[in-house]
Amino acid sequence: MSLQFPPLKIDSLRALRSENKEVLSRLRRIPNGQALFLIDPLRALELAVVLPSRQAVQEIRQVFPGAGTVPAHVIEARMDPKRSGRFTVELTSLFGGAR
Amino acid sequence: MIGLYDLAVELSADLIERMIRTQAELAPGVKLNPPFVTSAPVPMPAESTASIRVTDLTVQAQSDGLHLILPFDQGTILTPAGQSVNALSGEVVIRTPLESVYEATKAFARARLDAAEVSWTFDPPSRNKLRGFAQTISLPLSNYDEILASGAREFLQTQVRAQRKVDLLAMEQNSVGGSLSPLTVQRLDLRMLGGSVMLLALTAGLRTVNPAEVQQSLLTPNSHVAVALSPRGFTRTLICEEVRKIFGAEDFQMPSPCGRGGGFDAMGAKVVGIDCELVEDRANVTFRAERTIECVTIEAALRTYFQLVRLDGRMVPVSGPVWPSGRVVTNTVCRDLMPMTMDELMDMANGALLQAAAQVVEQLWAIAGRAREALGAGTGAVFTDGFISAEGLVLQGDTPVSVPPPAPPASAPFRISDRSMAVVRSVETRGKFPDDPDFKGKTWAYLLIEQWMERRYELAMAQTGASWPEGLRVVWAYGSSLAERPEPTPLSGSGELVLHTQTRHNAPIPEGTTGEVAVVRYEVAADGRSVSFWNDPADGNFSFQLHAFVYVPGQVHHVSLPAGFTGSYAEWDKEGFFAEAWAAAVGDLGHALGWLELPAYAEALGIFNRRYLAFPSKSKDWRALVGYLNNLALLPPLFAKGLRQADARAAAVSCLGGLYDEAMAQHRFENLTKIQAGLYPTTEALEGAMRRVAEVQSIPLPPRP
Repeated sequence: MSLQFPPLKIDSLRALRSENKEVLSRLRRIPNGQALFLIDPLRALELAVVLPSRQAVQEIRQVFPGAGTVPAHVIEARMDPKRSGRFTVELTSLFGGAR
Repeated sequence: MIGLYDLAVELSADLIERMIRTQAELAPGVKLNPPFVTSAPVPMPAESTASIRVTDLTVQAQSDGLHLILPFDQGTILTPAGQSVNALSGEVVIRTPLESVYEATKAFARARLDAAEVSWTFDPPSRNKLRGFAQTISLPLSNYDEILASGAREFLQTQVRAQRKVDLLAMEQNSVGGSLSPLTVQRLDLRMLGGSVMLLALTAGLRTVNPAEVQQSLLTPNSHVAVALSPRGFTRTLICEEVRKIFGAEDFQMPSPCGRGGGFDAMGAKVVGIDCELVEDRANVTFRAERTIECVTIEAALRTYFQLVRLDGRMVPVSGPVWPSGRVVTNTVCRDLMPMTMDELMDMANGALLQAAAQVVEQLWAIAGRAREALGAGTGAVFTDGFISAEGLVLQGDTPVSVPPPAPPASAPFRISDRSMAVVRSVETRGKFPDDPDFKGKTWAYLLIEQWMERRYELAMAQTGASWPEGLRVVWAYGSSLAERPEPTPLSGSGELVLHTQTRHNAPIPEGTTGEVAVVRYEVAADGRSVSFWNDPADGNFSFQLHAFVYVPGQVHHVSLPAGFTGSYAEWDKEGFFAEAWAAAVGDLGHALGWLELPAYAEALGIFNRRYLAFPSKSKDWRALVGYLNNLALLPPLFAKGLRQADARAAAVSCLGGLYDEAMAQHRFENLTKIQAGLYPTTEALEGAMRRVAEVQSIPLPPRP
């Protein structure tokens, strides 16, 4: 089942923090979405149909180096329950955004 | 399986028997490990004393406790007047209550020998003897059963009850009721299953339980000890205890079978729950823990399992891997702390669970260890089989409780002193052997020695200088040496005995009788402390067993020794056959010694004479002579083969030296004659020796060098 979210444009990290509640809501509805956000936030935002601007990407990469470039097999490995157990991740905020 | 109990330990009757043999004492220093002799007063007949020899022990687990069955023989009852009945046999049964005992720190299953009921029964021949005995001592016949009934109450029962209790299994009982202690026993019930005893324990909480509900033995055919834990018992006695130890949580506050509350902090995390369940083939264990580092919180459920694996023939509990699951609560800012938080939690969990696994293994063996302590030092339960199911965990095996061989009987304070003497009444008879088939028609001269003997035996104190105990009485008795008639028959006053025994002479002398009967006169001294026997020489050589039952108040001591007579016997005529053989031998010896330049002929002859002619025993004399002849016969062939003089001399010296070695002479005698050494020479031996002498004489010695 594919989730349908309306595109949500964000221009900066600050804008992402301000949309904290909506983005978290979308991530929670995506299977392992919150865990994926901790591994590669840009991939997770892509699944949540959150569209960061070039500046927003740069700001996210300053905080989270390598975001958007984590290889797929690394993501799969880190999401594999055989490796780390069946843990669910619950994010309380995105980069310090308000709940 | 074990009902609502937490823990069960089952011991087979065979194992209990071994434990009793190693632990229980019937008297100080006398293990209840037959065979042994015991004695004690009996009230019927009045003020009498009884003694029995217990030959075996078997144990049965009956509804009223343990039954120790002790067959006995050589039973004796003696009255104050010196009348006795001997050779009684039967069975003693000690019915020992088995009960749970709680002391300050331990709970025991205890065999209450101090409350035992003892009975004895006699086999039919012994009952007949007792009936006759009752008539002999003018005991009303109707009362003779009293000997059977009342005797035991005052007999072994007194001894048995005086002995210490036997603890079958001790378990720690925590005085503070620490429900997490693995071996804390709040209640210990016993269940007799016929062939075994099961100890059923509750570790906490006096629930409504009934041992009768446990009906199935946990033992397999080849096992003698089994340990079983219910699922609840497994959790409480193994897992909870380890959690407490690992985390140092003396005050266990956690929602789990181990306790209640909201959890506790340990190792930087909070342990919030523990659970355990037994399923087919394994025990699953789950820890629930939380750990927070700043803005990262991890709530984890850490699962592992234990299985029983047979390794090197033994059942060993092993743990599986730790499998975590749970929830991570964090924010993106703290994401860098998450791996550390997770790793630390995992390390804690892994460490704790691995430690718990090791401790669980130890705890299982500790239970066996408690049994081991009770079973005897130096032994251990070895579990060779076992399983886990939803009903519980069972381990089955055996413990190598080795029963030491019975201690040698304590040396009796008395001994029998032999004051015998032989009187040779006649050496005048000289004759020829009759035409006996054994002697193949030969007739040789012999002397007939009529040996009249008086055998006198006195009771003596084993320890020199010891004084005679007060109230001592002695009953002398004799027994046939024939195995089928071993029972001692008492002697009193004087008279004649008809002994059923093998009689024989050293040769078929015409005056001698032979057979299985010998008649002996006897007389017991007035004070009873010695007895004398006189033989009829015509009965020849025979033996019997002499017994002395020594009664001191409350005790019977039995001492015994073989006795016998040598009656008439034949002695070979030295001037006849022996003179001829010896002359030839001495001549050859002198020749050989002279040629070899050994000590002078006279000296050699002196040695020979001292050795042989003065030898007191005819049989040894004969063997030595034949040995000498054998040695002598060996020399010429050696010379003929070119033996160097020095070697020949050494060989001769060796031969001569060998003559002084009785064992060697015996050996050569047997080689020469090819017959078993007997007490008197046979025709075959004589003829063989003669042939050898002739051979020696016919071989020419080489000329002097």
